[in-house]
Amino acid sequence: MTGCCGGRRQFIWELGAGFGGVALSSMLDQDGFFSKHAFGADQDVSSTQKPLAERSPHFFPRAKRCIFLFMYGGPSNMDTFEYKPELQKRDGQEIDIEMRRGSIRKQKLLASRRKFKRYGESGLWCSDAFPGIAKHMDDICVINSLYSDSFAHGSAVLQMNSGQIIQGAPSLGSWVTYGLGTENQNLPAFVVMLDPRGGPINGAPNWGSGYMPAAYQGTKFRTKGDPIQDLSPNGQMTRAMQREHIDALNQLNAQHLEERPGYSELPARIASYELAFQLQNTAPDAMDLRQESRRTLEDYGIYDPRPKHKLSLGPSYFGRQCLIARRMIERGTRFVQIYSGGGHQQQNWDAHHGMEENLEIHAPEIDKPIDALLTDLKQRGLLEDTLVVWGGEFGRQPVSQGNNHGRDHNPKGFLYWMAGGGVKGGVSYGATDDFGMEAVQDRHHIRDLHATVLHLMGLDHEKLTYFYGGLERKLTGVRSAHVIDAAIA
Amino acid sequence: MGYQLIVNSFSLSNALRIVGLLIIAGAGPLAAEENANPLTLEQRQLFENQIRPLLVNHCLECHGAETQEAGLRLDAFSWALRGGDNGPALDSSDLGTSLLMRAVRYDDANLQMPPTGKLSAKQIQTLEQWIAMGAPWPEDEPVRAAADDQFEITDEDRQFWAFQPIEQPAVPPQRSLTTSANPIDRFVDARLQEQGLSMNPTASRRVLIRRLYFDLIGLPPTAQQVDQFERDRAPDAYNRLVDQLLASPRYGERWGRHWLDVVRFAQTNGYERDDEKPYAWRFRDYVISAFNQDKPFDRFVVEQLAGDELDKVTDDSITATGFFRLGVWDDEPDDKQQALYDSLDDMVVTTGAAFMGMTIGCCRCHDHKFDPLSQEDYYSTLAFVRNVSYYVKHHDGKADTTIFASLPSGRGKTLAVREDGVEAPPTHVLIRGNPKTPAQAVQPRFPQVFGVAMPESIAASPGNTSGRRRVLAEWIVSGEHPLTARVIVNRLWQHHFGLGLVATPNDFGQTGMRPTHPQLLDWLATELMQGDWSLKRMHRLILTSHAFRQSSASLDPQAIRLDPKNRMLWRQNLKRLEAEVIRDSILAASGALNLQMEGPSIYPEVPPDVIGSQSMPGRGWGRSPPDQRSRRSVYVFSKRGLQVPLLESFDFASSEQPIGQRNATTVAPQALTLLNSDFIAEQVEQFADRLLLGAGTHDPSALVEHAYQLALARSPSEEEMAIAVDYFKAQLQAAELSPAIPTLTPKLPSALHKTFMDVSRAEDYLDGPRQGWSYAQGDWPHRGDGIHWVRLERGPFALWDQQTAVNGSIKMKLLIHPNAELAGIIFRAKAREAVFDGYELVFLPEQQELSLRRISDHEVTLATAPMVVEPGQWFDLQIDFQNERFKVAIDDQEFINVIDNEPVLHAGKFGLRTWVAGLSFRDVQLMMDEHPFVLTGITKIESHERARRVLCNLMLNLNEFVYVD
Repeated sequence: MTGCCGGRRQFIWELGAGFGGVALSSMLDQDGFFSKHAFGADQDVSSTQKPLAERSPHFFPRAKRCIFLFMYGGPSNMDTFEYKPELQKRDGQEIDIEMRRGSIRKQKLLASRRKFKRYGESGLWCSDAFPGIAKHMDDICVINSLYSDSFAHGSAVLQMNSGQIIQGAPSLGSWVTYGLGTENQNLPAFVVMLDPRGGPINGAPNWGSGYMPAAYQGTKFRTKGDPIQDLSPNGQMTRAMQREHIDALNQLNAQHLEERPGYSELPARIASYELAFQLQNTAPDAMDLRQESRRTLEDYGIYDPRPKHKLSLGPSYFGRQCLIARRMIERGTRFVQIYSGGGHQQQNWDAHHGMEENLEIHAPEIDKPIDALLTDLKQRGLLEDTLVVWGGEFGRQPVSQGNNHGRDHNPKGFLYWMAGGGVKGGVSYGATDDFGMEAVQDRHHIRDLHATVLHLMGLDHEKLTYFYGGLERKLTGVRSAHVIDAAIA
Repeated sequence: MGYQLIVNSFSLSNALRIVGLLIIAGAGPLAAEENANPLTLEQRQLFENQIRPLLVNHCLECHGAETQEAGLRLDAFSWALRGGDNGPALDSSDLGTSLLMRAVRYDDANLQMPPTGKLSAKQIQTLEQWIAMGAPWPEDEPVRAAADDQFEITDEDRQFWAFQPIEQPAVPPQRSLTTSANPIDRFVDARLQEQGLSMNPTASRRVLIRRLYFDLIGLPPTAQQVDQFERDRAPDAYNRLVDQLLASPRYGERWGRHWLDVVRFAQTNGYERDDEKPYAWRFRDYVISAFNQDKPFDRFVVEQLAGDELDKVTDDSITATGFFRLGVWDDEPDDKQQALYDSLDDMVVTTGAAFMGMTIGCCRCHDHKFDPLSQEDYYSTLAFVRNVSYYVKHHDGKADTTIFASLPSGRGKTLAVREDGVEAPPTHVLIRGNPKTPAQAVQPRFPQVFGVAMPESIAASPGNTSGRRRVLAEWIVSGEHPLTARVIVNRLWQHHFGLGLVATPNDFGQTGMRPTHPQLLDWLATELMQGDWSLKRMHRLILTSHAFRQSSASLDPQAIRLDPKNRMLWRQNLKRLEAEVIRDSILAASGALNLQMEGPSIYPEVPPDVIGSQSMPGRGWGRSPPDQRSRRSVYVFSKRGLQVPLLESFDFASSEQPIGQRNATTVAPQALTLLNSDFIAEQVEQFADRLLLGAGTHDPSALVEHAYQLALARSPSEEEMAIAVDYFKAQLQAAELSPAIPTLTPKLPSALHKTFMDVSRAEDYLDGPRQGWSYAQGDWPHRGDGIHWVRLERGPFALWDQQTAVNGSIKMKLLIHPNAELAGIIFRAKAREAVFDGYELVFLPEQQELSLRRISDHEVTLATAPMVVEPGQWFDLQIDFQNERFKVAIDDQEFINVIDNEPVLHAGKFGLRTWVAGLSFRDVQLMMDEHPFVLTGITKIESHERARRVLCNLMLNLNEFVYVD
């Protein structure tokens, strides 16, 4: 990788070649632990042995961290932030539309049942689905004209997360942590929080590190129970007992190490137990909402009751995740991805069986929490260098589907919004056609969105490469990608 | 793909905008990205239905991808703009007077196209109409063809080491009588000698046997086996051990797994549904058995690539062709053509990487940037597999018959390749890898750089296939192929030394590493071929070398300075054990290891989180009984979307691409898994029992001694003994002082797919005390698409079965684990299928509320009170229930005192429930209609057992347990 490691060969050697021992934790070398042991000339703990060590960006970063709010299922554009007066006028009229790749059909236009208004000094449109987010339009840049390559969830979710429709590439969070490492070695660098109704389609590959080492994959962070899997001692062991356990282990491992000088992976593994023990403090602390005021919890919707609709959770769950996300980025976590929606169809933003019903279920789940998150970040001065990204794997068709006025998938024109770190607020950029069917003005493939996220975080998508399988791989793939300048302040 | 006729009535303004853009872009080929605006439906309709057919029928034969009369191509907008010898065919500044239009109008006697006859007036009019629109051309057209940069193989390319024929090098002379006579050592020694270095002395017997066991069978030796070997002073003791291990069926399980990495083995398709590939386990069994039988490697290759095209097909040869079916496969592709080529690409990439160490996949879209491989080479290689039938999803749920075949013996079915007929469809070079822009047709042939001619003709196989794959396979194992033997001996070397002679085992090209010992590599490759491709023979050669047997001590300061990475092999490498070996070693230490071979795969238990991260939680995962769960890791169901955490965290191979060398990371989650996971807890429990049984005493030193024997097959040093005994005693004391605390813990997430509920028993929902307790799963209403959500009001629960009562009291200490969603104390409860009727005191930590409910057909809240207790803190609870009167006190303070006007007065049980996080309880005193009961559970033996478990856990976490010298 250019910029932060040695030559390519060197890098393969260190990371791919296995026995070099990829380790982490700067704690012990801060303590001088490593220098106490005999190591060969270049067998000290180099940066490549600490995959998550903090690294310099390629240029000055506008955002140091990112919260990616993933609306799994694909939220609608024309019911949320892109007002389409022509569509509103022509409700029920037939048009020809490409419903799946190459399959063009006659379908009836479905006007949004939502009311739109302009908000803030910028006068950006927002529908009444999001009264809370509407308050922040002056901080938001809406990119209306994105397109991607797949009508199907499986490949579309993968592409949104990893740039590729083929399973096996590292996710955006992996690329960012690979490029920048983390500011806090005592917490995971890349955190994923899932919807209690289930994960997104494809499951774990969405936050996987693909061909990169597992150190870069997203760590699932629970908002209830033990925050990280296997974090707490099993059975009767208390934390104090686990401390003694690790002390005994360290003593025995020290004996083993003494007879084997020159292998940096052995002390690195000892260090990993210290970090594991630290995590038992730091991770629960990050999710301990008792440290927050009642007012804050209310703002995030954590006390809001569950609404009547049997599929709705209300804002309490996503609110908790947003608040934990804020607490994590405050502590130095680099990339947090929160999924809204899980399972299938109406359990997420996949509104085949009723656009209105879908919004009724999901919009209130996220609106209040996002309102609170943006307000909270701003008040704390964190919004300046925290990038917030909102969107799904595609948008939805302007025509009606099924008996309950649903909308089908649409990768040909959809929107994302961003706020915070380096984003030009109050901007509505690009457009779909009159109905919201296809991006026509200032079109951008989602690789441009990826390039923009990397850019805001100080990474050049052309330079952030990982050598694998004979190629310098990039998040944005082999086709050239362009940073969306209009979104940048 | 043909677009349908579309009646369109809008977006003329967009069309004009696009015209403007194209014109502004001006002359010269447009970059694809600049031409990114889409066409309107109207434009596309015109182009696809009229213009493109016109171009194809009347122009492209002479001005297409294959022939360019007068240097002109008309199969892309950019080509038309660029033009040919007579200038641009389309002039963006004045499209109407473009050369193209002048030619078709037959205005100029010297320029009349098409030469075979003037187009009809209607056709010319259509062209004019199109030109008037600005000549809109779809964006995914080729903008640059492969021919743009002439691909050329230079002499330098041909000189590249990996393309040189393998010639047996002369073995360097023996340095002295004391050095080994094994030719391997002479090569290694010669290299070291240049630097004035020499190999380490031989490792101890104890180290050697461990190294051999892990390397060859992936399991640790027992203490007895170590002792026996140490005492065996016969000169051939070592060689006999090597032979014995090579003969063990465990060898195939260990080495078969290495091969499964290389061929991206998994048992599901990936993507949304991640469905199972039927009978994929037979491929795994085939590979294991091939290694065990020492199937000649050339035969092994041929069977996988063309087992169905052989003169005599066998169960093995058919099963081997499952090779083609193992890849990731999208059952709902956005674009079927693209998906077909993705699938063929997977086969080409894997074939290149696995057998030839070539990154040929890089040439799918363009010539290889580093290696002398052209895009045409890629498609000519793809032509060998072009006839493999692509499988499509059957939405009726039936397995697709194109991906499996009946075994010739009639013993069932297997995953297999299939071709539908002997005639393969044509293969074209795809410009930029895009199936919509085919260029020249190609025939199957070997990449040009090898300079090997194809056979005159390819005979169709009797199995009704094209016979092409057999030609490819026979070339690969012909003995003339410069890579095949080098690549496989390098893989053997790699797994014995931790790193290959070529450190990039799947990339022997320019971007890969150069061999550290090229002559040794060639010598080994020749030996392999001369030894009838027997891998076991090669193992013997390598394992009996001093290079392998030397110690891994990293002490020689001179060597450390000159060769810190040990590329010259002055020592053996210390190796971190792979994920499967770690899991299998844990099972071996606990005594649970079940060595049953073959057959359908097994499902270890996974945490709720892992199940809950699937979009259909639990779908496609199963449950295996404990003895099955204790089988070797190679038999664990390999699901692309769900990995067993222990295996995943220790760098189990990704199955999405061929993996030549795994990572060996060291990260904190590994420590957490080995310390705290349920799997470890389960194994430690068995280990602790086995330890006591084996030691035959409660004496700490005897236990520590035996624990070392079971886990590490050795006695502890004095210091280790002292540390471990002290620790054991401290744990024993701690266990005696702190009571054993039963805890109820949820084991499943809050949403579950029906298929996983069907295989889960009530006890699988909650973990807790078993003896005398019964479990129920609670109410899980269906929420669509087969997914059920727990109804929190009536979730899973446990009942104490020993006594029922109408009236009585409950006194207990409780700890609600932080972030539990709910905890409940149940009484006067009668189980009714999965739910109960009765009463419940419910703690809702999030709402900071507790409430008393009567539960029958529906729930009635009788009283609520603020929840004063902090999660994570112990508190005293007392509940009194006398007919219609209910009292609740916390820490001796009354919070509820209420009368139920419609009381349920049946005799019922005491019970507990919790969800999301655990509920711990102790000192339970029950008064059940005059009968007092005390539920505790702490005894001296239990403390001893607890301390033993902690000791066993310690053993499994030692660095020595996961590293081999």
